[in-house]
Amino acid sequence: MGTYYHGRNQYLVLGTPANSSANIALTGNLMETNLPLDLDLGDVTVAGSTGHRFYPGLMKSSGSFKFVADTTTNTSWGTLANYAAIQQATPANYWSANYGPGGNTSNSPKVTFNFLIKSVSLPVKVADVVTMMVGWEADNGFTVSNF
Amino acid sequence: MSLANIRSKLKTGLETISGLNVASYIPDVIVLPLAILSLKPDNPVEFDYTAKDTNYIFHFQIDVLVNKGASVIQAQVDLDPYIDPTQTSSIKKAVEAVNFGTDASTYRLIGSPTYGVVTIGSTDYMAVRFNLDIWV
Repeated sequence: MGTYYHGRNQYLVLGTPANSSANIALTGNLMETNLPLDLDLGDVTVAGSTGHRFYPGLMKSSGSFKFVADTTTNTSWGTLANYAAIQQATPANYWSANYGPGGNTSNSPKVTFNFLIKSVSLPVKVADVVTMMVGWEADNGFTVSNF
Repeated sequence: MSLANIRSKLKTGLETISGLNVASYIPDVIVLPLAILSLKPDNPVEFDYTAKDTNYIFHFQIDVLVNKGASVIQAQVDLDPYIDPTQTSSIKKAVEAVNFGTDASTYRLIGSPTYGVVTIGSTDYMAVRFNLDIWV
């Protein structure tokens, strides 16, 4: 029996459009992630097919990161500041994500991709800490590898 | 961060309330009026609030006991200033004045789930309990 990957060990570091080497380490703030790895499928069903037939198309994915907002420079509030800076402009560099659903230990799975942020929400409740949700659209697919 | 530091800072904060004795752990001896700091017995700590074990929550409770004596009415009069957030003896004011520094990321004094007469040993006390969550 193999060893399970657990979500509590997940790992996320973002590269920013302003400076791709100025990484935002979100791991310690990270609460939830959602990475739907979608693929367009063309329906190529023809007369005589006994069921629908498909042809694979392009990768397309919209996902989200949810994390605790804090006062640390270049971490979670940095994400919001960078988002504000790229509104209504095409950035020289897109955001980049380096994500490990089970952590970043050697040989654990890694998903890397570039993306644009398309929404930021701040669902603030009096009774809880302030969190942020970033919604994104992946640019040019994903690369799946290992750390 | 350490749990001992958090207890110590809370104790110091609550001791700013004039006349209130404060126990940072469940005490062997009760000296009234008394505030007792303890972790909730059914849920003392919650791990993995964020990834990599970075954030977790300590669930504290603060019990304030006063003498019930012969008059339960007088006991309520004695207890109310600790509950009323506008009074100088307010537990809420005292907790919110604590500077946790690097020992906590944030906190919230949630409120009072219980209020009334409690019996410890063979002695009755008038008591109120506050729930306090501390994120570290």
